[in-house]
Amino acid sequence: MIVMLRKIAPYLLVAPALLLIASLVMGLSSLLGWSFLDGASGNVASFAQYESLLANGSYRHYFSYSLWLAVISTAIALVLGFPVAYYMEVVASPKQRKIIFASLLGIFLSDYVLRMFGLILILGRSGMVNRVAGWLGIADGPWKLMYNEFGVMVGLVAGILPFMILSLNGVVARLDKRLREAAALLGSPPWRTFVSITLPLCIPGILAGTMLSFLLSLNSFVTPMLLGGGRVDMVAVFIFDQAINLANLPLGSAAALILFLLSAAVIIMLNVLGDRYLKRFQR
Amino acid sequence: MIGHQKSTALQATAFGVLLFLALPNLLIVLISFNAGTTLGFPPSGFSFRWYANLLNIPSFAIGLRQSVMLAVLSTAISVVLGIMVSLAVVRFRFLGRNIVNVLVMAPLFVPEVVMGIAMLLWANIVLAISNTTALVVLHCLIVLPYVVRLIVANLQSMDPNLENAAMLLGARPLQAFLLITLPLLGKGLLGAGIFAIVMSFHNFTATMFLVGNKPTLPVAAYQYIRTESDPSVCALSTLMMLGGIIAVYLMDKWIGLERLAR
Amino acid sequence: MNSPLDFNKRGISLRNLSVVLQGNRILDGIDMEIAPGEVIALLGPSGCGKTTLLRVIAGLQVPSQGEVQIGGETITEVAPYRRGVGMVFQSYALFPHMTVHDNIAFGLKMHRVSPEERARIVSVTLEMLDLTHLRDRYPAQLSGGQQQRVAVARTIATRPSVLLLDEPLSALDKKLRDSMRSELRTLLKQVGITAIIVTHDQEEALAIADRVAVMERGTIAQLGTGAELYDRPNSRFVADFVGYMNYLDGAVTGIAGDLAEVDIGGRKVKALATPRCGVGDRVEIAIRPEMISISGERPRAEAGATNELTARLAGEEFLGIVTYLRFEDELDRKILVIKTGRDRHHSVGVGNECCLSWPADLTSIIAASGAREGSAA
Repeated sequence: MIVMLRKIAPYLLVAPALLLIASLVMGLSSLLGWSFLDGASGNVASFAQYESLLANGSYRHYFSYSLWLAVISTAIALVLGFPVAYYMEVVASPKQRKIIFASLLGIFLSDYVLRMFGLILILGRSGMVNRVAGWLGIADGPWKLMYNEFGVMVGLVAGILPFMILSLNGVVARLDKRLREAAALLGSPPWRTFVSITLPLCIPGILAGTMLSFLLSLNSFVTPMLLGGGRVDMVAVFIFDQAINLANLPLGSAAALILFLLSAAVIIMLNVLGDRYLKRFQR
Repeated sequence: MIGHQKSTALQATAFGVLLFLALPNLLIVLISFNAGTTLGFPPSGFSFRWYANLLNIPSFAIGLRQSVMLAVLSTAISVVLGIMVSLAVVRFRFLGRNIVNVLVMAPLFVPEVVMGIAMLLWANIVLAISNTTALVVLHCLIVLPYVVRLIVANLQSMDPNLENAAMLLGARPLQAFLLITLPLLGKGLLGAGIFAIVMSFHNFTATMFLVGNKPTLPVAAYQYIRTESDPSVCALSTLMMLGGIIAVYLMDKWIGLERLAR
Repeated sequence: MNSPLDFNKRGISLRNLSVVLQGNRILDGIDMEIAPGEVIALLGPSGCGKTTLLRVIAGLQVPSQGEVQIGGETITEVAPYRRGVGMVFQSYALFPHMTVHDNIAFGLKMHRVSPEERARIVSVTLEMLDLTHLRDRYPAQLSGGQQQRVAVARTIATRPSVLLLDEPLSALDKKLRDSMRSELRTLLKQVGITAIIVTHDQEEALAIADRVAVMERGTIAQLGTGAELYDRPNSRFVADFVGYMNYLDGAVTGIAGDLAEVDIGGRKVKALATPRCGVGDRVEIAIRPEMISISGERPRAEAGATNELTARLAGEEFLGIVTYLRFEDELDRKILVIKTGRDRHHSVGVGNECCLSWPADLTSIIAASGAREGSAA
């Protein structure tokens, strides 16, 4: 009796959580189903939506432009984030590090919508940048830093930086400083040491951070809405528009599925890259 | 080993980036005390009027109530489900253990937009559930992976023989769990709970799909930003930041920030 | 001496116990009878299955086959909280969020003992293990030795009929281990409980237990008292596990009564015949290093009650308590002789020959392939 109970116990324990996950699976299946619906002809197994997305130039633009924005913002975040991670883990004192980490965590946990709103206060026509530029006399008229690609880019980078930094600081913390010392003793200038020793060792963290940041940018909704003024074409906005405002669920579903597949592809690709990289060092 | 010059440049860059990250929040706090009625920089005068004005905005009150309800409910449910799953995965060896692990982490891999529209379809059309119920389910889904990960880490650092010792002393499995495992998990559970509450509270994109005329607080703030342009939102935002600081402090106290870093 | 707590000690029966996990035979057909009040040690290298056997008896592992009986009752499938078995874990597994007092009282609470009786038993137990002054401390505030005593106290407070101990002393440093060894045995005998101790330390096993079961890869190689295992090991494995042993290979040439005659290469020696050895068998004879005497005389041609052979002293190591004398015989086989105290003085110079002699009835026969000749139970 007790033996039987022990055998089924784990299954009983995981059942409720799996039930919850099942709702997600059901939702994704409905998504799939809806994407094959052709509103015009009433056909339930047609590729019409997908064809429409691929054929229509402006629809395609949403995807390609989002991808492009994601790539650029991730690259910028990597370049800006690495120095912070490096400073935090290698140079800063333990107390400084704790303060920085706590601040990052605070930002990470603060409301995303409100952070973007804060950027409006900075980038807007009567925002901080324009006012300061005016005092300093470096501008003739207010700069247009918002409701355009620039504003969205700033927003994306600001949004993903905390994630990038927190992904990087793990690997940076684990760097053995004796490797750098050994390289220096062997005559390597600092920049060379950085490129050949430090950077390669950080690749797992860089890959993780890149993946996380890229996906966050790609799927971003709030940033293009608030800082793009409806003029910056990102996929998430398109999907919301179709599904909620235009009640075109089939098209929205199809777009959502493509986005999902894109995200999955990125995850798989970066994981494979990461594994291959690590395998090279495991004998 | 690093030359003095490089160190200053590094320090400057690092602080520059950190300033860039903190600036939006700092500015919000600044302007929340504006005596004037615009969002312009710099603020003119000092006043608490916008904090007082918060009471006049009904959508914020509704939003607060909705957000709190969702956060508390989804956290409570997810913590219970999370404890059960963690126990199963850490203490038992059963067929499908790895699959369960992957499935529970699944919501992390679905973009928020996709989850939003998927749950919209599921709720309204497939099963005709009320929006509120669907929202609770959505928030549980979002929060579950984080909760499970934190609890699993806690369980793994516990000596598995503690439960065995309790049983050999006469405790039935449930007693062993309630008297030994649960108290020892205690702090970890609180930390996981706070994390979950924050994750749920701030969720926006997916929530937008299911929110009808009862917005959550982030949604209410968003709608206000799009229509009005007075510093009320700044006041609200500052208060939310205060809440966030308390949350970070509590998490440090209960799990230690180091543990969260991995 | 009467113990202030009475224990209903019971015997243990293991019948054909096997545990197969993921294709590996962790335990293979274990049979063992343990008398009430007896202290048994399970001795063996890591991976031999000793801890698994303990867990089966505790109820933490269900066997794939076989039966466990305690006091005549079959308990193979009974849950651990109903078996009346106590266990002390290697990590002690003290409840970190409870005081010493509450740790000890826990089992009594689970057995629904009344608060007054509980208080009495906890006090008595604390005193028995000299822990009264620590009753309100938390495990983290205790030393290793103190934690170990609390672990034992916690288990015996519920008066189990069987006590299991998994490497109870391995977490302590050497000096503490040696002193706790005798304390543990005294306690077990004073309380009179049936106990099984798992250890990889042969000194510990021999010192604490009445009988020792040497285990190898899931089976019991030999079960017997310390003296039996030492003087009459049934295999090379057992002989090597308990002390040092010398081996000389040869062939059985005759059997007369209890003794067998073995030709070890030109010279004949006598050894204790085992039930299965026959004339012509290839065997190894085994003799303990401290049983060998040195003399300057020539060895006799025919073996009598004493075996003799010629050997050359190849090296000598003085280690304080003991001196190792390394000899090589006529066929260049190595023989170790251990001497202590005044016996270590001898007149043989390094490189010189002398006569080594030892009693025939302390010589064991071990089958040449290393397989067992049948266990002495």
